[in-house]
Amino acid sequence: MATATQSSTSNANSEDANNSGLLSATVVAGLQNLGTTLNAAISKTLIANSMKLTLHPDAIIAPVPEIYATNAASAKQSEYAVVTLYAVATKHGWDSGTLRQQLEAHGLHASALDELTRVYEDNRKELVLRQLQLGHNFPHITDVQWRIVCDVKSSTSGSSSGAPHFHINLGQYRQSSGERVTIVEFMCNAEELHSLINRLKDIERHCNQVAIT
Amino acid sequence: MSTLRLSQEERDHLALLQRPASEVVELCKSAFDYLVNGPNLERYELLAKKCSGSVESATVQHAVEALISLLIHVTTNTNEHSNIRQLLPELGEDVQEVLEQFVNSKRSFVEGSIKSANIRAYRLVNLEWRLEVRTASRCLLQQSNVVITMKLYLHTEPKNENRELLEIDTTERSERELSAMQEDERRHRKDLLVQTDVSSLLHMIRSLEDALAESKSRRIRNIVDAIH
Repeated sequence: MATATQSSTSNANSEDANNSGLLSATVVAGLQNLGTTLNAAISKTLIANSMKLTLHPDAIIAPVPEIYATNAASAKQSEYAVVTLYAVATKHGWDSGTLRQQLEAHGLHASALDELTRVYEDNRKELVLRQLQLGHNFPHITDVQWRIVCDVKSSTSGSSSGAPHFHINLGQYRQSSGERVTIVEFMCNAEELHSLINRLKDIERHCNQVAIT
Repeated sequence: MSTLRLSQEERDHLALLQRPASEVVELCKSAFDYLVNGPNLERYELLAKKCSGSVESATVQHAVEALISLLIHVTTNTNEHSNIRQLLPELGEDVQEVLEQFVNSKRSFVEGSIKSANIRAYRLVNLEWRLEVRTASRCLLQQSNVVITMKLYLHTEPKNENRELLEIDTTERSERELSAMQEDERRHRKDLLVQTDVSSLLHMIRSLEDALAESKSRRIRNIVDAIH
């Protein structure tokens, strides 16, 4: 039992040692500015704005000139530090307790520490979802549009083919703007559409089987 | 209602059909082969030698091409009762019968090709899929995200029969022919890798089922029947 406790403590220690190297000196210095070089109110706004920009890069942020009025360089460094801190914390799956521990080790101002931890806890889920989308992915289909078309005449034939055709458009909505983007468009007849639906249902069935096992 | 007429040139080329039905059958077989593999000059030369009387290989080729032309004319003029006997009364009855069989056997093949030949949108030929669980990425070391990766095979050839033509035996083809075939594939085929998640997959299935159900509705059927 004693051995187990000892080994878990040593594991926690080695994890701390690994994690402490994740934040560079520039980031640590930027975090230390919060609540010190930059006062508590400005620090709070800065943390909120940094989080908003991380989650929604296209968001319009109301200008707050006082952030940069006296100590523009420190403010910029702190913004960079906050964004980096949250990216690293999300990447490594820290909970707010781990984040607090990490920050305590660097001697941050108490008010900054509380604010950073609170904002992280409040937005953790969104941060994870955001970082899930980063990196290389194949085009992700989230929407399907269709139309049914029947030809009447064409330049190559004087009569209708007598069967409706389906134009299928698979696409996605951009999360930032809500704009729809087409990924692929193709057409098929009823028989081909039927076999496509069966194929997709086949995938669904396998998903369910995997979920059960 | 348009009436079906053959040009004088086509009639001249079809003059070769005024011979025994067995030889006309050979010509029709060559026309089938043309539809599948394109022109085959060696075969025409061989056929020219087999034909009774002195026939040149070019004459055989023209006759084969005129047969294809006849096939297309008869198929596109669906309003007209395509009566080979009226169209080519100078031919013997047994030859007319052979031609009727020739036209009817390949009617759906030609019809399908012609009717959808003008605007060639991509059609889905095949779909391959793989169920994956993404366990880590550079930005997120711990995750378990279910992803369905699909490969869509698209092709601009409108009909199944025509698609099969692209899978012809390549063993006896010259380098030039092979490169032409690869060029054709590049132009007409498209493979695409996409992914989706389980809830989007369910949404896709539901939407496509709606489309299929709608196409079978009385309203759509009435419209299709009315314009056909």
